[in-house]
Amino acid sequence: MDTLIASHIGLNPEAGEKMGAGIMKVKLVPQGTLVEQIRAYGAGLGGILTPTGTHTIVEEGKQVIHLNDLDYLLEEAIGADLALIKAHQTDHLGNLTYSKTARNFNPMMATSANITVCEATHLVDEIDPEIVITPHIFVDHFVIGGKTHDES
Amino acid sequence: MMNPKEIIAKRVAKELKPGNLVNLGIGLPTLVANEIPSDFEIYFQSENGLIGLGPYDASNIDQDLTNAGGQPVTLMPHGMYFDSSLSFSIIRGGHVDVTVLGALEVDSEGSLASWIVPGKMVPGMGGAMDLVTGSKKVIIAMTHTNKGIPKIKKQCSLPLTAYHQVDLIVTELAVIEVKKDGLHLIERHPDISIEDIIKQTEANLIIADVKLMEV
Repeated sequence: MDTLIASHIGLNPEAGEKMGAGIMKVKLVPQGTLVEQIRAYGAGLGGILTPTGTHTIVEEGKQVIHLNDLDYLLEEAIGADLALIKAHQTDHLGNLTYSKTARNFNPMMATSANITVCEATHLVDEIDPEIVITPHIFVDHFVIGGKTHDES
Repeated sequence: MMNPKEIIAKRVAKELKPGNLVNLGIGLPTLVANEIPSDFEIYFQSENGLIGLGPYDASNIDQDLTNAGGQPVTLMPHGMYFDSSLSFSIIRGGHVDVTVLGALEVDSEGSLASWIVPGKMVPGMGGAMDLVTGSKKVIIAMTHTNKGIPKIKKQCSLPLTAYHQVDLIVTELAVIEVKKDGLHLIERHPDISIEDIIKQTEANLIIADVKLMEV
């Protein structure tokens, strides 16, 4: 891996070592900006305007847009070739629910990659349609307890 | 003197009002939760996706239920979970009443630096930039100096977390309000003189009516 885009690597000493040794570039992005860049790509948007990071080094090299008396940074959408996500339950099609705070970035990641692979804890026959968080159309493959299931 | 962290946490807790939605940063700010009267209904938000953050409970650990620092926590009655996009809509959209966080430096214009010491410590900003940009009130909870070196500066020397966003600075020695005309010393620890506080502060302080901190 040549570049890592993340908001915090304090709990990942390996990333810090590789960055320090110059083996890997690390682009640090405010967490609310990163999640919205990912969401934007999956939603077909070119980017987002956020006040976060204005007048800081995050602003460097970016377009500042002045709108209704406020400054915003233009942050481009981020898509991926592959998303690896973690869910709590999946049905046979790949409709997903998540568990507690382990939901975090997973639903946005699922929408913004060409191929989304999900590891789910449980495979169930049916999920109440009211509580599905990620519709199966976003999930290409899933894994339960080490076994692969191809959704297509 | 009482433990400095406890003095700071007790004083910050007095800023919170029933019904407030509050985000507490990792470290010292989390101690504020211990100082809230039990009849106060305060809703704690955590940027990894919950409202209703409860205390650590060794008998009830779930790896899927953590705070933003990855430490196990619990969920209070009526609490709920959401994804990071909604979490930062709550944060950036101005729905958080108070955010409490630590800092490496704060300056006389209310800018703060908290996320990077170039070449030394580069953990990343996490959600801090969004929190201080979007919250209605930003309180810095930190020790007054770093081993004697003032942290309240004329101007921050480290890369900023945000520009002109801090409302209140609470240390173990003083309470300082950030206003358009500068930093107002509004409270001091009863055992510390105004002169001592000035000596340990690089920024100019505006001094008029200085009350005593309740410690």
